[in-house]
Amino acid sequence: MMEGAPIKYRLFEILDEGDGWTDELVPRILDEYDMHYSYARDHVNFYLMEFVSGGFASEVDYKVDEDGHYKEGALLTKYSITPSGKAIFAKLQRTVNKRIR
Amino acid sequence: MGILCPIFCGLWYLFGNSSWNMGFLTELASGIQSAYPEMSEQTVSILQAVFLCFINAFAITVMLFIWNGGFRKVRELRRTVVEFNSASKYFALAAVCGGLGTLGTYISSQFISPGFASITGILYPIVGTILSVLFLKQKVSRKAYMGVSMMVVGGLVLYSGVIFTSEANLSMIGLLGGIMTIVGWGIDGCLAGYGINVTDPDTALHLRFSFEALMWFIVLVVLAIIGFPMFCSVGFLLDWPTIVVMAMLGITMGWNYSTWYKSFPLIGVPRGQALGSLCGMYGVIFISIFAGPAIAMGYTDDTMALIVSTTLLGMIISVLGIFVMSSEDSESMVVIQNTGAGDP
Repeated sequence: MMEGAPIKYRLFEILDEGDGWTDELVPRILDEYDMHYSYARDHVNFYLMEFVSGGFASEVDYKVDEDGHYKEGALLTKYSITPSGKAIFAKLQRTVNKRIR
Repeated sequence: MGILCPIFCGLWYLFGNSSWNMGFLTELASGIQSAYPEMSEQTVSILQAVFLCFINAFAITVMLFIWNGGFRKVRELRRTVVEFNSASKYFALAAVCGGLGTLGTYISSQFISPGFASITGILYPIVGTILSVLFLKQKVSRKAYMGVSMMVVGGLVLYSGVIFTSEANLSMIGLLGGIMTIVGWGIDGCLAGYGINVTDPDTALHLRFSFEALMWFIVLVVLAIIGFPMFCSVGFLLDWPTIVVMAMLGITMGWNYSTWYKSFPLIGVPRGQALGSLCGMYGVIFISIFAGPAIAMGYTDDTMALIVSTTLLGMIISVLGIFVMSSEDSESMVVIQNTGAGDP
């Protein structure tokens, strides 16, 4: 439903489907939005940090990226959507512009 | 982000206030006075402020095109603007309220003093905090309420000096401008704080200033149709000094708002606004350095003691309130932000 919508909308949708690690969520967004450059990678990661600061997602686990799927040697985080995140996503589903997708 | 924001804002006050003596505004005043010789100087100043608001919003919009183009965010901008009900309507409303706040700060700087205008800017978190509690359902701690109370006291001290010394008519328009700033920027931050939860802060900011530039352009066109020569000084915008000042307006307020908006998802609207409102202090400092304390605070030999004491005392009390408000530990910040699904 949120493909092609602003990136945070799609991140909410992916997190609503289930928990995800940084090296799963970020490359998926970069592929879908065709943004294969390092600035976009770090920016999508920053969106996830904003979700945590805003109370829309929580960090449930950590590991180091050893295979370089996200960024070799970087700390990877497993994110889970919170009730606040689910509430804001439910509102987005009601108000998203359905005519253009 | 919250710490960088007020430094850029203080510099913006400096460039915003230096614009008043530039050709595009002085010629506009001459043009209006030629067309309407009976018109009062106050009305001409307000029309100048409206024109300056358009120039300000336009300069920031151009600067943000370069900024977002450089970061390849133009596609995200397009994706966001079409989401009117879920995102861009909040930025359109923020543009109206924030635009009126900017008009208010220019009016109070012209009718009272640049220092008064910038210190009035300290007080907008009061409105932002109240609205974020009522509409965004964000929790605010006892510390934050204490900080807001101190800011209210600081604001009363600041206003008292102006009320007792300025000419009644001038100070009343200036005080109303100050209230427009407090309410306008408070609502702006609250609306934007909600919208940024689901959008990119840079694209959100770009939308907000594009809407504001459009709003002021429509206002100018309507005034021109009514008969005011609002575009008579457009040629002066091509002067190099004016271009430099416009670029600095765009850069300083663009980065001020960029850092302000980016702080909201990270530390919440009340804290982001509290830190951002240190702009009043930086504004007074920068204007005092470059234009002198008499212009910065708007005093004469007769009123110097009262104006300087109330300005500095009001600023110190308000800044202490800001530090009380923004000094939450990180655990409390998560709890406070953990309710952000409210609807403005």
